[in-house]
Amino acid sequence: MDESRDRLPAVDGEPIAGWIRDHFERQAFMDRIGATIVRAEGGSAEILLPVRVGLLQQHGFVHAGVVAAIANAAGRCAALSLWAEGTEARTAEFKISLLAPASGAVLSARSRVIRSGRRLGVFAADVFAIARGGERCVAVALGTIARHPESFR
Amino acid sequence: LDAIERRIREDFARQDFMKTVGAEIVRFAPGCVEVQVDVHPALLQQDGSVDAGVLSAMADISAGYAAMSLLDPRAEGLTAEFKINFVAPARGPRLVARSRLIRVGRSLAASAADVFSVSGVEETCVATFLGTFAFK
Repeated sequence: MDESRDRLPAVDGEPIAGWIRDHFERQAFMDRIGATIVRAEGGSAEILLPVRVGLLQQHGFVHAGVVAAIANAAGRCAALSLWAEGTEARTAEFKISLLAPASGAVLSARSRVIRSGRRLGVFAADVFAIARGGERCVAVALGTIARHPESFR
Repeated sequence: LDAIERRIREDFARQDFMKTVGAEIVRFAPGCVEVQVDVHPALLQQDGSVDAGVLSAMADISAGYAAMSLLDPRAEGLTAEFKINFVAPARGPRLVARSRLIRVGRSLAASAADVFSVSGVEETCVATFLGTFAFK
């Protein structure tokens, strides 16, 4: 799990391929919650999300659905980064454990690919809550990304 | 039961993220709470179907309240973990999450939910969820 915390150096000076950025930017819901992608290359990705009122649940913590959404999006972008340019893919399933209430200034979802196959990719993602005092892991996820059949035929 | 339903509806009203998504509770019964969302463009992901995070949130709320519906109205609950399978693209125009409570223990509850995409009278299951909720 600690591996995902290492920020990989950008390959060719670009931390994210243009087509993966396009994929991310086509996700209206990511825009709606205010998430941005900062890295997606070599099987790992990172998404940042500033915490604000519209994302909270009844106890004032970030809603589990939001935490799941950025873990999933980070996992999918990491999986895409190991497939051919233009690949389309959907999330088939994921499991997430919410380890601590998510609060703080910013959430960071960091993912890495465990296995990249022809049809399926398996990812792990950690979500960290970042505040002035440092960062804390608030969730861990494990999921499966299915490549669109047109993409590998 | 009225006190519990009132408590859950108040709790729901305090969830700002549910306003962001546009979710509402459309049916309340002990062990089954139905949550509905009218699909709008801001909820979509890259392929034009509803984002996995929205489906997760709907299922989580529906299953969590199913557990709370059988507990002391003062109980506070948090989601400990869940697994969700996305079995078909969710296109709407309406989505409904329906839960079924599996077991409530003293501090943990296991609860499941299915999310359906509804178009006219036609319903398609788009996601299935199984979660654990911790109470105090």
